[in-house]
Amino acid sequence: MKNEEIIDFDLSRLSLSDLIEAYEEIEEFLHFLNDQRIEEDDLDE
Amino acid sequence: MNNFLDFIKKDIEAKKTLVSTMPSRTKTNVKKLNQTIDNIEDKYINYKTSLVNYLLAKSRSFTLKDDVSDVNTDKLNEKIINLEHVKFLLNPTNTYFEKMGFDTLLYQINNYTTFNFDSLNDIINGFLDKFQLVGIALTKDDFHYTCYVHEYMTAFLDVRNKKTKNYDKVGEVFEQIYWINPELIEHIELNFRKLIKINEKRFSNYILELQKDAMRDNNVENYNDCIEKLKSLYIDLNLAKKETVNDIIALARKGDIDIEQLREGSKARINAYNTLVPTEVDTSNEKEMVKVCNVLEKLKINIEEYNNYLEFLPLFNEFRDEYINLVPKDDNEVPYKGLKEVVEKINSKENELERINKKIFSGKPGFFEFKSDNDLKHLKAESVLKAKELYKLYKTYDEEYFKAKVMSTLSNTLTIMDVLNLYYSFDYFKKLAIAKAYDTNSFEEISKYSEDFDLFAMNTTNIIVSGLPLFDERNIARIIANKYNLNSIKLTEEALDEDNLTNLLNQILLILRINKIENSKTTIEKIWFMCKVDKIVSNERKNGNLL
Repeated sequence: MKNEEIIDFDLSRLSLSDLIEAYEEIEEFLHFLNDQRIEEDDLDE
Repeated sequence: MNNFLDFIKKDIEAKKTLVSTMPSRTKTNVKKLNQTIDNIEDKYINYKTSLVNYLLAKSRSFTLKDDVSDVNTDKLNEKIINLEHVKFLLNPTNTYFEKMGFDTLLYQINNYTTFNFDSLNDIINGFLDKFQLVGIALTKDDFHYTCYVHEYMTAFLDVRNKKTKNYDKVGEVFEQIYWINPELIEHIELNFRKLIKINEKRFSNYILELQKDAMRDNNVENYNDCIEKLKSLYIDLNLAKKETVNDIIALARKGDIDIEQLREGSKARINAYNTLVPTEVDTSNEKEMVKVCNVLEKLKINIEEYNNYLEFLPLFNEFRDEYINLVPKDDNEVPYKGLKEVVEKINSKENELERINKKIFSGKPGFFEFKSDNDLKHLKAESVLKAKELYKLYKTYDEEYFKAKVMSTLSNTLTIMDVLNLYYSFDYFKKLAIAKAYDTNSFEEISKYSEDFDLFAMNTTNIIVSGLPLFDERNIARIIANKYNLNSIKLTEEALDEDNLTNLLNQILLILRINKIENSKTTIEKIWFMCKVDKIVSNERKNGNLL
């Protein structure tokens, strides 16, 4: 089983509030990732 | 691992550690870091897309079928509008004058300063239209209250009869007269008042015919029959319009109500139950809660009525202070004669004015022709002076007219409902009383109060005010609280303070809505979920991630 594919998860087993929480976790993580990105042009080799 | 939430929580933690500890000193490091971030981001965007699609499908599956009501509310509304008109026509408290709408026009012409010149023309046309309704086409010869009224109305009728709607010339005439006779509009009003008085019989008969037709068309026997039929229709309409679960869902999705407050454990929900539901009631017991909610439905109606009562308390107090000393103490009191006296004075003064006008219009001051322009000027000034005195007398007449109506029902057992009926029947006096009670001259503000007052007076569910004596102060909050304590509802006088009423109403609505949802095919959680998904979808759309 490929754990990281959402298809392998049975979302119907999550409660309604867990589903919303999952969305909020992802959304927050995507923001985090965005903040971690560094502009490559700003650095010397 | 097959719990998606657990998986992403752990995975996010691990990925956060990985990203935070990756070196970023050199350009190569940064390239690698950004590459890693891109890979993780791609994966999580895919997760989010799949999740959002799932959320959307799930939310849609919670949609309830439309409530199909057997009752056609449009038809009910139509019947109510028709019967309200019959009630208006049959109202035994007022006369042809109010039923023809002359009192509303009088109020408007009295407030002409609020309007522009076009509006003034509309008011005058409004008077003329009403005469036309009963088959009286007024001509310039009907307007001789003063020579200036005659001059103005001649110009006015000329335009009206041509149906050109261009009143520019009338405006010029107005301008010319205004500087000699600034009270021109007041005197036009007096002319109309006189014409209405002269044609009283025609208007009364017209209303009588309307009443007959309305009763026949609506199968109504008399005023009381009409009231009973209306009451029954309003009961049907209120039932048909009762809030459904779909209504609650729509309110929540629009954001008009906060669904979080309905969820178990919410502060608002706990407070509402603690305030209103006695501790001995098991709130998880469906039967017990249905019983409580039936009582709360009635309390809600009573509180809405009480709220209306408080809004118009200044008006009731004003009325009480005005008439408390006039309440008959015994049967032997001298009958009230104020109105008769002022009518006699008006008639006598109008005769004097007519005599002066005859001289002006005929061009003969007596047996001889005018000797000079000065004679004519003098007579005109005298006629304006008389008209001015008459305007004051008509003001007194208005006061006495309403006073006479009040006196015919005034007793120490007069109820708030009686006052509601009186003011509802006399629009002109209601507006004057509102202006006084709320200390305002704003036409818009007075009209708004007046509309709200009429809705309150028309409300067939009023029960508190129907037995509430005007001259005997009662603690209504205590009466309501005691009544509902007997019905096993926790209610304090403090909760019924004017400032707390909105909060109390919201608490009642909260419990009623919770109960309604819990006894339906959906749950509060599902509605909460639908609202959350709506917000997510809107957020995704805003960011261009969803069509």
